[in-house]
Amino acid sequence: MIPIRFTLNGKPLSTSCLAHDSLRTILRREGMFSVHFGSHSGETGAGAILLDGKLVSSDVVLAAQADGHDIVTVESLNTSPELHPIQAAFTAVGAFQSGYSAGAMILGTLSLLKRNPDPTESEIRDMLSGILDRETAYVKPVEAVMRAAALMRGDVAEPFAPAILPPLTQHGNAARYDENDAPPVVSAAVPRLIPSRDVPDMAVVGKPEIKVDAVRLAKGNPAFTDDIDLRNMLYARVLRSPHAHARIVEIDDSEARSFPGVHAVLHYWNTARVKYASGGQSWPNPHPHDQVSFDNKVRHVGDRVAVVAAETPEIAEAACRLIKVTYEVLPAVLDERETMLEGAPVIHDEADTTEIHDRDRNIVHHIAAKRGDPDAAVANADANGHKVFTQTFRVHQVQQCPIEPHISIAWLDEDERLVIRTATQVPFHARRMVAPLLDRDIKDIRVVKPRIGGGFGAKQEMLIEDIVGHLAQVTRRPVRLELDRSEEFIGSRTRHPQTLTFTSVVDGDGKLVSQDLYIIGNTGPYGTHGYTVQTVAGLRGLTQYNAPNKRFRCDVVYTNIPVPGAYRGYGAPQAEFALEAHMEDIARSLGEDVIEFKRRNWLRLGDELNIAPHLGERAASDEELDEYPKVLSTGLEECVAQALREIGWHRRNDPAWKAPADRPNIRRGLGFAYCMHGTAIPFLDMGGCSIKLNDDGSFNMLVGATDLGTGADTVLGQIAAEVLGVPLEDIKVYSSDTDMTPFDTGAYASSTTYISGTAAMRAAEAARARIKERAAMLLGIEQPCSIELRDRRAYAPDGRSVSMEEIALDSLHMQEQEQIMGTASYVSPECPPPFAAQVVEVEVDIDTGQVTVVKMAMAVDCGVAINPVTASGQVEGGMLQALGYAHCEEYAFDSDGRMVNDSFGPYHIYRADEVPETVVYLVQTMEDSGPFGAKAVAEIPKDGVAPAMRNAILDAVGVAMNEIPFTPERVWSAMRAAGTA
Amino acid sequence: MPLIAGYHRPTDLTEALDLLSTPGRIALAGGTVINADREPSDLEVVDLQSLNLDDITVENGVAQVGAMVRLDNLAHTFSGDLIGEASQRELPSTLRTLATVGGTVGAAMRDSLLLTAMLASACNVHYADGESAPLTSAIPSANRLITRVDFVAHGEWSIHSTARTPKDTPIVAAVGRRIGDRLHLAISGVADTPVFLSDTTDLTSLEPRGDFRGSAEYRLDVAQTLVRRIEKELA
Repeated sequence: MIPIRFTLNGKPLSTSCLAHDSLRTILRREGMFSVHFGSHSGETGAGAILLDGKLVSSDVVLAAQADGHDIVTVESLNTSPELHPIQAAFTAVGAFQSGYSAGAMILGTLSLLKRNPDPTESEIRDMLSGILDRETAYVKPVEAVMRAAALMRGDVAEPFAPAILPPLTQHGNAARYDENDAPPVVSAAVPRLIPSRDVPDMAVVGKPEIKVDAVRLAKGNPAFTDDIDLRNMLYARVLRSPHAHARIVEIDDSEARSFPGVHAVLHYWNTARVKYASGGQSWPNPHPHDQVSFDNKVRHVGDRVAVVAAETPEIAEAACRLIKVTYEVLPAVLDERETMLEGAPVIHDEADTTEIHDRDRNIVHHIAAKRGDPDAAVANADANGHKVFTQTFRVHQVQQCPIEPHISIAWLDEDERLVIRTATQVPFHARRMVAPLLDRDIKDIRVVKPRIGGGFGAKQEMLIEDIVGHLAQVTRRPVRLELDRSEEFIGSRTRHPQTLTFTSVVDGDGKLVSQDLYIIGNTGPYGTHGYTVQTVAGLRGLTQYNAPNKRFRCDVVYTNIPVPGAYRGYGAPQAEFALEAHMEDIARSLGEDVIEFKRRNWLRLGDELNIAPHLGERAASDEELDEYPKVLSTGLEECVAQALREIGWHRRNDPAWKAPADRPNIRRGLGFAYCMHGTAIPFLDMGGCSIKLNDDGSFNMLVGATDLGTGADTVLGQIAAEVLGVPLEDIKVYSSDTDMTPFDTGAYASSTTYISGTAAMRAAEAARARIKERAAMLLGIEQPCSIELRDRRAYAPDGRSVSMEEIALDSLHMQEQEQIMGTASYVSPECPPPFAAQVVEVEVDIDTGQVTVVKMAMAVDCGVAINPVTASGQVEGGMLQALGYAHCEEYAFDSDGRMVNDSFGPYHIYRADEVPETVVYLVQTMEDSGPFGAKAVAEIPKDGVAPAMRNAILDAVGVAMNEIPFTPERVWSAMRAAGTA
Repeated sequence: MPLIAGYHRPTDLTEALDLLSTPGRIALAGGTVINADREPSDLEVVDLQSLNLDDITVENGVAQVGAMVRLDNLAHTFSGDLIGEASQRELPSTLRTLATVGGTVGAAMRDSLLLTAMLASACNVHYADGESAPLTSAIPSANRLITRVDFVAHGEWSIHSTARTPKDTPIVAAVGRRIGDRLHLAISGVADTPVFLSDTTDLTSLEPRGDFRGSAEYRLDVAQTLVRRIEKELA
């Protein structure tokens, strides 16, 4: 051990370290839980601290290097219950979503403002450039630093609130914006809100409330899975396959087992073979169940081979290297178009995986759904004077990249029950799914979901919970497993690559007669979400335009790439890229204005969602349906008008703007995409909530819903507060713990606000009914329904009132005692679509193919945004993730199927100092089926950026790109092929 | 962290050289490369932070910069100059405060914009043994302890690069600095390390290693475009 001494938050510290210990390791050992792990190489900045006043990634500082230096973490600011002005500024503007990197951002701000009390936006963005944020698009963090600077200078900051704007349309009819009417000049961080006359003013709902978890995040308090100290904890490390496809002939673990400090080595020889599907979905999980904890065959580079539990991570890693594995290497296939061909290797040849559609051709599922007769529409097109358009698109593999990697800790509690503390979006699914693998009853497992550092679908999976469960049972000690960044890329989950072919028939009036979509969906080596993602792709690709004839066909195929799974958008970004590109090209081919052509065909109020019921886990046949669901709310025309004005759409017709004279190698373009998404899965997604009244008139609210950083806890609290007539601060939200909280399917499918929110509303209504009864007793009123709750009081019609606290004390202690509480759950028969208009401005270098995105704007109809600040944050962050998908993120493989860019940098996600201007509009509509009018917002921002960017490139240089991402060489090659470069 | 086996912090050059003379020991500068390496290793590191190699002086337009000067310091000191701009763009904020000039030269990354800028700035590398050599003559061996570099820190300059996004590591970057009446050009992304373009260098004769960000053909084509732009701009 090496003795080291340094100053930590102003106090001298003497301790010791190993030569390889990072400063982050030692700081966390000293209880500085704000210092988080994002990667060993420091690019995420989640572990950034101040070293001698400078912001540095503690991941790449040896603890020994810190000897003699001054170290500051965000805990240094936590000297009182109140927030430091910087912390207050970040919480005031909603700058934290998951808050995983909150400490780094606050320390960076502290350092910056010490050097420069009045920094420019450029300087702020540079400071943030070393802190990767997958959630906010950096819009609100930049605003927070500016606000902090103002506060530190002694300025008075106005409350952060949306800018309320007048509509540009009337009654949902299309309207052209006035080219001389400039968009509002307000900070990009401020959501532009266009209210609906149908929405009443409310006390808490619709207000920019500060997040209920703001204090814990701003202070860096221990809130995340890893922020716990357990005695005698062991550390797990997974040995992963170096081959894309191989049979394991032999495993010799003798050296690893005898290595000092090793407590368990598990692999297929000593682990029960229990089949499962790892996708976090409702029971019964879609077949095939094609996985086991450890198999005798590996099917992608990074697949599990064995796991070691040891006294330290380093011992576990060293022991992994001592496991001798003999492989019989098999041919591999990565491309979904090749895996179905004769001669391709069969990826699942084992007998105990059943319900594979065509095992020999690697086809897991064949999905088909139809309305009308698309074949006839094509066959009769010539005779009818119709035109047929067919295009094929290819979309690639990308990763969710939550800055907090997958992490799980398991232990046996005092009753010998297994507790799994895990970063999951689906705690209840995870408990149910892991039980048979561990040969335990569900009742003997407790899954605890602390705060999560981002998920985006990657954590809608039972990914590593079985591993820590096995090891905790074998060793009878707590076991922790955290994936490193490379494992996140090759060993967790990704977005499905697809090949999509659209065939559309258009009549002489420019109306769609038919749309046919065929997808080859690449689910990698395991089914997981393969079936459901592809059905959603079909749903999204074929729903947003009217056509009497529609057909969806899909072959979901196995390959040997790292496993695709759920990723925010869930099939929609792929399908909408192809659809909106296809529709753009049809319009151009017909010589039509792109937006007019789309408008003629897009869904309007009252239109049927005419293929939706035939797709999905609970698909219905024509005969089973009484009627098709319809669009019951839409603000699309207002979205389009606001977005086009914001981007200055009329500049498309200005040659001087498009080819600037002073920059001869630059061409400019604007692109548009229309987006439509869903809100939860009807008849399937279910959420529960319970609320109880406390002595002081406050409430505890328990929900099974999982806040990934989206602000779900806040939104659900706002809904309950509105019903109960109390401020949000009186609702204490707890989520989620399978022992304590009601069931919830989890955070996916844009369901939480709509489903869990309705459950919260109904639970609050149940509690409210009892509160009114008790208030009526105290006030001598005979009709409790006449009582109104507001401002923490219950008011009689005559103006007399009693406080919530008085009601609570009376009901708990005085007369006819009872615990006032309400419980409710909700499953929806509806799936109301949110709508949006996405616009993108680009500059293309015609010599190099480099595309620079100058601006993105999205106007979203998400019904009533329960919290416009968190809702706009969702849209901002979603757009930036979508931009990465379109522009720079991709999996690259060598010829043996090894990912060659499994780290940040080579796999590039946008930094704060390079994001385009990003603007969000929230167009309010009243969706009667949602809580207080809400629809979904979290996923729709993933849908439009890629097609809008593609269409902008087309506008700029006349090149139609049908494959993403739009990297410089790809654009350069396309321009060369087209003769424009 | 690499599984390094030992840590040493010498307080003078003699001690450092003595420590480094033992096989299996390497110099540790900022740590952004060595400490980020996850490959297991039995190496011992010799931390250079106490050798007082962090001075910057500028005289007659020539900068003398200690090997342990951090890139954020370089960016600040030479703000407005090529070296300042390249330092700023080399790494994001949380790594720029750690990475050093000496480490950048020693690591000799093929895509290093700062190294490319130094090549275009008539950079000389000085070693602990008292020797020095122009950076253009050879990228230094990792075994030699760099104590400082000098470079020209004035004159018109220009950077042109192509990348996936504005602040991504360039696929190809061309850098030019006018020193006296001569234009010094260097380019990254077309060889295993950045290349100084002498009067006799034939760009088309280079054989870049293609990768998923850019094929060899693409890199060569873009290199010629970017060099033309520099030449035109600084003509």
